[in-house]
Amino acid sequence: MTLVNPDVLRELITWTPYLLSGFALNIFIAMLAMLIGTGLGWGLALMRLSSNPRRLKISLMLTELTRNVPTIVFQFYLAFMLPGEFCCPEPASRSGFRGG
Amino acid sequence: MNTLTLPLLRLSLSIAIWCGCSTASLAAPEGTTLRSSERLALVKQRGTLVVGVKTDYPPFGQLNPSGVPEGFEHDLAEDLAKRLGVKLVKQSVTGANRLQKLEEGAVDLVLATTGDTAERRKIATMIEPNYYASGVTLFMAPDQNIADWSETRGKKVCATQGSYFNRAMAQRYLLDLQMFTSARDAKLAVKDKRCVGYLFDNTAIAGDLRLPEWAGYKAPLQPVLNTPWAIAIARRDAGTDFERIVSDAVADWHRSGFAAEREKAWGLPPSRFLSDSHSLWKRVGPDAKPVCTRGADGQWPSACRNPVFLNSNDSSGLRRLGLWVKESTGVDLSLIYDDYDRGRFVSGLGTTLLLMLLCVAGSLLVGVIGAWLAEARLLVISPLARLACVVGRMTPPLLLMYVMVFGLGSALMARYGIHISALAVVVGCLSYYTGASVMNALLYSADAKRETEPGYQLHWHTLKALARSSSGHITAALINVSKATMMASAVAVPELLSAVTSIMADNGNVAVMMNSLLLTFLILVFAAVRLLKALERKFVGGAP
Repeated sequence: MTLVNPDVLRELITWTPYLLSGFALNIFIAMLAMLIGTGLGWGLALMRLSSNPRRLKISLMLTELTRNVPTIVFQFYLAFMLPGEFCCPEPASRSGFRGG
Repeated sequence: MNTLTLPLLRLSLSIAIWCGCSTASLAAPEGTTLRSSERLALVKQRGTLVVGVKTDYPPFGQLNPSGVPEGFEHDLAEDLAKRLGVKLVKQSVTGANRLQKLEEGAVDLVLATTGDTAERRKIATMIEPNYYASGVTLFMAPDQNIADWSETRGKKVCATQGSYFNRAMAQRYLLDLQMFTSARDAKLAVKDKRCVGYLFDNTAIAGDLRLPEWAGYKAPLQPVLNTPWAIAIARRDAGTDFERIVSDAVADWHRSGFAAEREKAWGLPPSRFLSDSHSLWKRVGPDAKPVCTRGADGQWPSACRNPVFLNSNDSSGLRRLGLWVKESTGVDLSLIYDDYDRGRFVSGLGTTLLLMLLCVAGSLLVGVIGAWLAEARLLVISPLARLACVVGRMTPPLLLMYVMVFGLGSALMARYGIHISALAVVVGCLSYYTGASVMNALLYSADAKRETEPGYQLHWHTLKALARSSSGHITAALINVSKATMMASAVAVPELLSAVTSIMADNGNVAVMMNSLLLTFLILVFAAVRLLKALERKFVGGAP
């Protein structure tokens, strides 16, 4: 098992572009999550600082809830529980043409 | 006759009629008296048992070169006739006419590769326990090297239209199904390498593999989606002594291993179903009686029955309640009422708790030792420790786990035969990652402390002084690591997440299991957070 095995190098060269495209997806997910997370965090912080007691309670509850669940479990939960597809309601004009 | 005798006569007559009726009643709850079957009486009187068997399904039922019917099921039928003390007469049946012949009375019993399904239970009596089971496997060319179902993912697989298992298998293993109208075309496609294998029933494939034209072909994958087979008798024979005798015979086949021995004799690959049944029916309970003995109601205990057909009336206790809830509301809380699922869930929970404990302890250990090494101002070790801290914080723990398990782990296995436990790897990686955070917090606090006390150096006895300034960071890191233990499911450690996904895969109760998982985690992490904060308060509280 030499350190610089020509087979390994060849494999790396073949597959690196494919791996890089996957890595680009990682970076995209990270940036998107940071953006959305910052926005949500700012919203929650505003609610926490507001004088309205209900907003304060909601903010505390949401923070506590999302903090207590591991991210990977939440990912599984959403992956299984969110519907794969949902039907858009039919526009009113279409229904007039249905079967006489 | 005096005035009393007539009413007395009427009374005694009605009592006699009532007694006569109760002995003839169906499924007597007290269990000792069974209805007598007319069919069994006819069989005994005739001296022959007519059994419907297949003759076109080798090696279960076939015609040998001299035209004599023989096969695995024929041997079982022979044993049945012997137990009843009569001669065996074989009647050839096909999949299309077997249950019809039973209903007509042309055969007394059907032993012909009949799958035990709910629809069939409506038109015939299926004997429990089931005597065999078939599943789905892949018929492959000789040079095909697929060793596990997971390797079939995304591959082109041939199938025949209309098979009940096509959709389930395609969804489970993400197969690229190539549909054919006949089995012959599908098998030819395998020969032409247009697909990696032909997806079909393993017993039908076993028959094909014995033919000379398919010499060298194989089906090594363990059958999945197992459907049990049952012996069928007429519907009106349910709850009779005929059913009882046949059912006891099948139980004995499992207990004595007769069915497994016959399976081997006919060159069938040993099935999991028979070996599992053999151990189940042989198992002896704490009272030295076999676990699978009939209860007071004449039925086998739930653990020995086909779980698909159990309804709330057949079970007792917690299982009855759980099945009743499932039947009325559709909510399948199998993790509560079913002992196997409950066991899986509880052991998953136990593994998760163990992981949390080990990771928290490991992180603290790594963090404290690392910080002490870094502060000790040793020549090579201190800068190395600081470097390790930086690397640890920057490397995603999941990545490290994959490298350790699949990279280093498989290299060690191939080269030296050393097996590294996945649990140890997870604890090691997470401890390193979080330990680096803890170490960083401690070093940061030490630097801050040095601004007020220039001579300060981190030691075991001076650790307490840093407690107040670093405890917040350390507690946060430890809370994170107890949540991160879920990553262990990625390297197949059987903790809670993987237990839940496998229960879900078996029962299909997605919503229930996902919500249970979420709820369990909320409770677990809530408790862990409270515990860690209490420990923090205790540790910090003492300091000035």
